[in-house]
Amino acid sequence: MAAEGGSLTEVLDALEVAHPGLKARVLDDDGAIRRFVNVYVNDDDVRFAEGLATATPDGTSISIIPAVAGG
Amino acid sequence: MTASPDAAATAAGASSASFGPARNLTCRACGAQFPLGDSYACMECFGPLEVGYDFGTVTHADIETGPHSMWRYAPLLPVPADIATRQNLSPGMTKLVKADNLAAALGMKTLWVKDDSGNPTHSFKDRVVAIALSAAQELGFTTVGCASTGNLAGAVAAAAARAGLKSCVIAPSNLEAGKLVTAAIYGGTLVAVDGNYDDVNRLCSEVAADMGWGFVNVNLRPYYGEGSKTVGYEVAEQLGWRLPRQLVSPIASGSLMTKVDKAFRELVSLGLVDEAPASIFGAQATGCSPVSAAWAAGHDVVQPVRPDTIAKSLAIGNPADGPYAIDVARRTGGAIADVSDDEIVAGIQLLAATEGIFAETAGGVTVATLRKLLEAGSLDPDAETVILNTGDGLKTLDAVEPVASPTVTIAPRYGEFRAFAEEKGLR
Repeated sequence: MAAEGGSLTEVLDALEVAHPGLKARVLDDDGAIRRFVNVYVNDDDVRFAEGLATATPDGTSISIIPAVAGG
Repeated sequence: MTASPDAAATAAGASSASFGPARNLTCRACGAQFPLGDSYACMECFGPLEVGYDFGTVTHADIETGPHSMWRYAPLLPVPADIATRQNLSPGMTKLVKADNLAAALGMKTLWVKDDSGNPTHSFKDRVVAIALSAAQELGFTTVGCASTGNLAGAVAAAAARAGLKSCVIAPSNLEAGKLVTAAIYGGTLVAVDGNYDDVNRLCSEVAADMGWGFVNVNLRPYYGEGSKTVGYEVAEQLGWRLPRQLVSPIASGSLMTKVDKAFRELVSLGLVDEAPASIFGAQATGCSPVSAAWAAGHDVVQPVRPDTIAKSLAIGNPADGPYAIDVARRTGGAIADVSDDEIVAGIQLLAATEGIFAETAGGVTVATLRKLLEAGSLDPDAETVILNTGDGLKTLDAVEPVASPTVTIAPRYGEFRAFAEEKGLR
């Protein structure tokens, strides 16, 4: 899926318009990233970057992946 | 820019498959239910799915007359009733060792070591893999894989070889030599990745969705996790069908600790043990201690870290079950702590020197954390305690080589030995 937006929040807002309900699966009721979801901007976990405020310049790829345990 | 939500789950038909007493997959976060299949994340909230059961009645006799392996607990697991007759490694029923010498060294009254290095590939991972591979076969997968910190890769490769499945296991390239060799020897595909476990885990999530393989700790994870329950069942049965007052478990993803707690609660609800308090404590290496840090800060959410520790089997910087491990410690009156690499090595030495058990680095973490919790007064030295040794020291020789070498090297001459013995005061 492609979407516009200068930050992760803006991209999720844009995706929500195109695919209603998507945002609620990624964010909890307080608007934070759900604790079982990992979001990567390019190859970096956004928890190591600026979270939802992480910048997403043109050409950025975003992955949304459920957390899985193992070892 | 483009955004690509990876497939969270696909529905494989499970209509003709056998999962014993399992009835559905239930989301641990929101409670939504899904049919038994290869789904692993909730379609509603991305929460982890867990196996839901209808156990009916299970008696001590049902279990005690079963095989001397984890399959004696088949009535409590998502496996076919005839699982023990199928081609697998029959893990479990490892020794529960009464550790009187270690107890004395630590000033404790009653201490046991559940020694899971006695499993077929020398770690507790054989238990989780055995369940996951049964599910893989029931769901029709012919290739199985995993994201591994080492032990799991060997466990999957070995079990796949025995079951006649193809395997592709994926692990960080910087693992101990012993872990890579014991993963490669079984003849499957071993992919070493230049990255840490969290990088490997992410890669596997993407590969699993793409290749149509059964990844034991990705799309087969709900089944896989249930294997850890058998550690808890065995501890209770080996104690004479009762719960230990305290138990210390290492934490990597946090799954083992939460499943041992689940096992204890199931045994109580089935009437197989009397209800009694069982406090569960978690152990991490300071170089990868996101769960311990969250515990110390009083947080429910675990902030990921980039691991840097000799305890590579516990080096998961973004532990998926971390929040649940915190819940378990809080609810049972336990605690979570972490120890330095030097303390880990000292823990391995202490267990070896007192009980003749050579643990891998994860076992060193557990012993050292036990000591730390005792010193902090968080753990009662007079209450019966069980610690889990999850792996074999022979796989992590690198960690202890600096402190474990010959006392002396001499020529094969009696005089030289006598001189050495006199110098050291040996007699």
